[in-house]
Amino acid sequence: MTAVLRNVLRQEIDQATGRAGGGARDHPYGLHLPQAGTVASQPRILALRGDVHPESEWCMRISVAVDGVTYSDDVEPRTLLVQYLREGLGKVGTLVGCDTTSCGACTVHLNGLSVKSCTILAVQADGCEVTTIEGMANDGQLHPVQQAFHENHALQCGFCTPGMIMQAASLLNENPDPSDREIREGLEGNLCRCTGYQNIVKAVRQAAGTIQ
Amino acid sequence: MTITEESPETTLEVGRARLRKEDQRLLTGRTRFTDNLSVPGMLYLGMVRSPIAHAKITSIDVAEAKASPGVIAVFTGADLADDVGPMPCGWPLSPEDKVPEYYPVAREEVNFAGEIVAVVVARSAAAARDATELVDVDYEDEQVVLDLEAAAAGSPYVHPDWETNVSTHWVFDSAEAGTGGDVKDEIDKARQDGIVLQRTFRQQRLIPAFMEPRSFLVDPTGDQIVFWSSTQVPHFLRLHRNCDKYP
Repeated sequence: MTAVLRNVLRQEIDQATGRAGGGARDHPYGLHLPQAGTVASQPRILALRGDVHPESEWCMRISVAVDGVTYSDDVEPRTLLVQYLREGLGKVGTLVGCDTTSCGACTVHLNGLSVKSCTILAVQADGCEVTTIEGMANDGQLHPVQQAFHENHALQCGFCTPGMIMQAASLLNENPDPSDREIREGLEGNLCRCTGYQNIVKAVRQAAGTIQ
Repeated sequence: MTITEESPETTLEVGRARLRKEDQRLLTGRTRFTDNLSVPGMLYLGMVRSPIAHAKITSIDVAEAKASPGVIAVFTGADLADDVGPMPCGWPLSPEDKVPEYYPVAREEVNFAGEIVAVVVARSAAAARDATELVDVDYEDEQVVLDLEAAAAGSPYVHPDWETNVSTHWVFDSAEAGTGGDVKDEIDKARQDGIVLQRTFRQQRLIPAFMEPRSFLVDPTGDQIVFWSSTQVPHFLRLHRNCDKYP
């Protein structure tokens, strides 16, 4: 797609979403996301299978605040938190790498603590606050951990990055001034296969300094 | 791979460290990894895989899977026989290679545990996966070979017609490659010097497995087929499309 066509599309999306005036810069595809502090309007049925009726015994109503927006949805009890985030809310920034709690790509914050969202059921997050990688930047400003990853070449393919950043942010909440060893231990549940650990540790160290 | 040296301080354009230009989307969770994409009317594929390493497929009952909610279609190898040919070998090593006739969905026989025996097409990934559990496959066990050395030594054969389990013989010898001396000469010399050290080394099977799971999205609705994949080998993928008998 040429840059010209892309700009036309952006303008159209901006107009359609009442967001004209170049606001699309925050979101490269001109996506219009709900603002933090708002409540999504109607409860929706988020059954993994189309045949499950929302009022049947199979579904449970949950209310979850994700990246500052509160959602009320009917979900199947077997729905994993990561499925709810990705398929239910469209928050595909949180990635599934292994599905077996090994790789950490799906790490999010649940009431401020890091969890692997492929190992938590959506119903367990009922009444909780969830922060994903999509909620880390504030007003177009990257979170210090995101900024440090950029400045230290702490990512290559970027697939481990959302989980790695969420875990690093959680680590720094618990230990604002970790040693290299503590950083490595804190990130041991997150795998990177572009062999970027050295620069990831460097980035977390820099972010610790920035936050302090 | 990762460079850990500090970049030298310089005011020159050449030799100065650069920040990556592709980071913004990767850092904020807005990247188009394959499983993040969706197209209108998108359907999901679920695979039914053989739990047995070597067996004849005696029957497959897909009726219950077909009736499962959200399921559009179920295909076995026999269903696809008229439309899908064998998959080409993406990386032949020599003209003498023994390349098995390998179909995307097995036809009469499975030759390894995990081989696909049926696929389910459904409106959601969960519906597809649910339905795969309803496909009923009957197998007639055949002899298996579980050890690499035993496999190389002889029967039972994975593909009986060949009367061997050796697919190819790849020699890594610096003399043969023209990059150095003969390995055997060097070993003989070492023996003469009184050094004899013999060990068996087992190397795990090499599978380049990146963090992003293998995933594919195909849009066949236009005049051309658009194919998204989590790999970086577009030409191999194009080669594999040749197993479609009607390209």
